[in-house]
Amino acid sequence: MKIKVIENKHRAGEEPEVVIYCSEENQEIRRLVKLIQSMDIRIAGSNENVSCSLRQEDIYYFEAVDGKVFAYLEKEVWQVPHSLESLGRLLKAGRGSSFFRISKSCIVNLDHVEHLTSMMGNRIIAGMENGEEVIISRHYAGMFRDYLKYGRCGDDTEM
Amino acid sequence: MIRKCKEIISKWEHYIRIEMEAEVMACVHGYAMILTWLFMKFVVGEDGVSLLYVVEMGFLGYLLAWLQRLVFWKEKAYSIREYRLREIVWCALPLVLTFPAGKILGWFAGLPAVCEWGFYGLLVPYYIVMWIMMKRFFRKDTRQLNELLDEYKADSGNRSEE
Repeated sequence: MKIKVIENKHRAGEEPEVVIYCSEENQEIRRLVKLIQSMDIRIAGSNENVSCSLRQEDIYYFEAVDGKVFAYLEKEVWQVPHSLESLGRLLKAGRGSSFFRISKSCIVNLDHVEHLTSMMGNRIIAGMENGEEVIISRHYAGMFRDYLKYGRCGDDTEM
Repeated sequence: MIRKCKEIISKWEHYIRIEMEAEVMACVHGYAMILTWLFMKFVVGEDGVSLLYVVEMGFLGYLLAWLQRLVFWKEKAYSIREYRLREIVWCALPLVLTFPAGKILGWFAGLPAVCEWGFYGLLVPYYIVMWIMMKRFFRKDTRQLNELLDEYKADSGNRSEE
């Protein structure tokens, strides 16, 4: 399969476009389309009376607080109508995605993790690009290390 | 039913892992105390060994391990000040508890004073060295983690470019 990236300065501000040239649309092509679509999943967010569609690359982490789940962006916080489990499935957290479940109440976007600090009690602190800190709990710390090393975690991972 | 069983097994695995980690530390503390105590008795030429004292030191090691674990029990990000404070408590616990335990339980009753002072003289530097080694370990682990994170990011960047 040939892959070509064409940069076009005149398209600044527009969404990237993916065009697949093929002789016929077969299983492989459909899988490829699905894969590309999965990268463009948007999450509905609401904040008082305002709603918006959140791009996954803008989300730093998700946190469950008092039964509600919030998406934390660089400066904003939006409530999302999903549980952490369904978000884990939706974003394929921990399966080649940049999202990873780090505690019972948090899923983090590794692309926005600036630095990690190993702490006593087998836990890790993740410092985010916006200066916030989230904790990778003892239970998930081992899986997190494996994920960084091998890009995958055990089959029994509870996402 | 199977799901419930898996949940119960997973919980038990979790508890057993916590217990095992505490027991490893308990062995470290207990063994250090017993060995130092036996060494000091050997130095002053005492042959008799009280099994009760050995058991007491083992239990104190276990208690110390669990107390140290409890210091960092909460699953939350501590502030730098709070973390430093807990670190000091973690380090000071063995020093603070071993001395009164030895006095109350009479580990050095009937022995020359040099035996008691030798015991604490060896244990105090041991606890301090252990703390320094732990600090070194976490610094090294932090460096390795950040290298892995950088590699992961470079790798995922390459993957998305392919």
